[in-house]
Amino acid sequence: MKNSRILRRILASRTSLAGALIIAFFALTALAAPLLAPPQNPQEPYQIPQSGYASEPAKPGPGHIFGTAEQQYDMFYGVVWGTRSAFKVGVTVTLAALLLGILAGVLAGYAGGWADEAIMRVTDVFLAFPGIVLSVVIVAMLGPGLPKVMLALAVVSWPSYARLVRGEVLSVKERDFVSAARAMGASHARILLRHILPHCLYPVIIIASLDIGAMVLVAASLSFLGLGAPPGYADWGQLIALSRNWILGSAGAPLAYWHTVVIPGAAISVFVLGWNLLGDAFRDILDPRQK
Amino acid sequence: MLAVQNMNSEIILEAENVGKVYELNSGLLDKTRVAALDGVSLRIAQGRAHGIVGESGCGKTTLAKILLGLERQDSGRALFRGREISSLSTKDLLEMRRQVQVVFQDPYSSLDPRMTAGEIIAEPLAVHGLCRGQGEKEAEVSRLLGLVGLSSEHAGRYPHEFSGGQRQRIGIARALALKPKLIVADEAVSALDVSIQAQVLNLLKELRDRLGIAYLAISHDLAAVRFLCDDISVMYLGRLVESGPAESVISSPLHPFTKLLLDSVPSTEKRDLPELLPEQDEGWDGRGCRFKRRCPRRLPDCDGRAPALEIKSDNRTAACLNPLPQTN
Repeated sequence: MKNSRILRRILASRTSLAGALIIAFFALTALAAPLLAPPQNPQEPYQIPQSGYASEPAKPGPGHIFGTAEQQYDMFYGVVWGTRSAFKVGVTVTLAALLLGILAGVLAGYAGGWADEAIMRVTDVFLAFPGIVLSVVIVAMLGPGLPKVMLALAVVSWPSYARLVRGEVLSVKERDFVSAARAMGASHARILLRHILPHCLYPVIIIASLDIGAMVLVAASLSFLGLGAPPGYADWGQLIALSRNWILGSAGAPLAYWHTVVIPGAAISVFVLGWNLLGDAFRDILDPRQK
Repeated sequence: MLAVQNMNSEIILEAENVGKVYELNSGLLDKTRVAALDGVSLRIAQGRAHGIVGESGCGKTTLAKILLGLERQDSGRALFRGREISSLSTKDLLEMRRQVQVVFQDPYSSLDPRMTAGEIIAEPLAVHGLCRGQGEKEAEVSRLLGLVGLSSEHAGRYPHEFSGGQRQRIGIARALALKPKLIVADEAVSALDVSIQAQVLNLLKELRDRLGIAYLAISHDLAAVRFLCDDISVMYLGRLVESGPAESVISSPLHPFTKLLLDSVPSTEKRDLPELLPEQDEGWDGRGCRFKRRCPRRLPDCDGRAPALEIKSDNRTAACLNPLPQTN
């Protein structure tokens, strides 16, 4: 009942509809990746096929509709399978950070006292560093690779969820229905799961939906810095990293290799835009304080 | 203490010299200590209704929370059937929960908006494992809904579909689910419209007559407390200033603050209400009687000596150096 109402309101607003359509388009692309760009080696579908080893990127044309990147990696294949990577990174990192954040936030807010102090001081430490710098440091320590990037991003982003959840728990905890549950002798588990948690989840879910896009953006920047996926791995940031030497074109032919930057760059931008529109829509619908 | 709470009626809850101090962070390192309760003693006997009246912020709710075992006192003892509440075993605490239930002031915040009325009322049954099977539970929920004047078809509705008075009835049904011996009613009617207040007060009184439930009724509304309660205690800034049988306290108050409270109740006959006096928080400098700056019967002694709650006459106690004369 409630879900259908949310759906109706998403479809009612033009911007949120655009967001939903964009994300739906990317989701379809990710699902249909094996059909759109059949992998040459089914064991390693994320490995972008190379047609030769020449370093100069080829322009879009028959055979390579998006052209090729440095070392003849096929851009179309990279963008299509990169959609999967993007979802994988965005959703996994956000979910992991969300779970950790909710756990820490609930514990801090509900238990209070020294547990609250300890958890909040830990989040202070994490929040004191700029997120990207901290994730660069973590990846540099662990070594490059997509799973490590995801781990680093999750580690960097849980504290903000924890703070948000803690604040919600603190306010819900004071409401009379929680006191009533305590006065009837309900266990802590029951109070948390039945009375507190359901009231704390919406705000974080809204923020999380906004964050999925942002996670992909940060992962792409790490890839661009050479800290992300290994060369040839289908990942948008990786594709942009490959174009690093070709952004300005060559002497006499400025921007000759525009496609190596613009195509994966556009994919990232539109993907992030889609999540932001959708997240804003969620917030407008679910958060009464915004009204 | 009070002869009316005589020896043969068993004491359910008792406060013995209870004190509670809150620390407020007023600056980076400064802490202001506010005494919410100071040396409060009180007994609630089986089957009796005891009212506590006082201005908002005087510590009534803090006292209720301590007696419910939701907060812990800083000094003194809070006893359930003679045993300290904060050191009850899990099993004994559950037994206390069964015997002592609570109805809150705000019927909009006391019911979980995500649960139906039926789920809300059935929750205490589930917590205490009182009903076997869905059928038995539904029957019990219907019975409880009937007890508070609602019908079983209300069970499937959510709190926002009810009016304030109906919501308060759901809160009462939830409190009744465990068949308690005592219900703590914390401003249970003050958030309701006057006509609805009368309904809910009648319901509470009726439940008392039918089920023999004792009440600890906390209110700033003397009329409501008089209607429901046998005994009244008046609280001012964290201390009891007067205590006694409801009728005699109201007809002939001993403490000037009780008199002020009574005079401040607007009525259809009254033409004048007393002059505004300073609010209680600017009223006390920490020495002597807490009420002295607002008190019309102040003596020079009131500045130096804090009066204790003393027996002034039959069943009546007051903490005042210059109490009002009793008229009988």
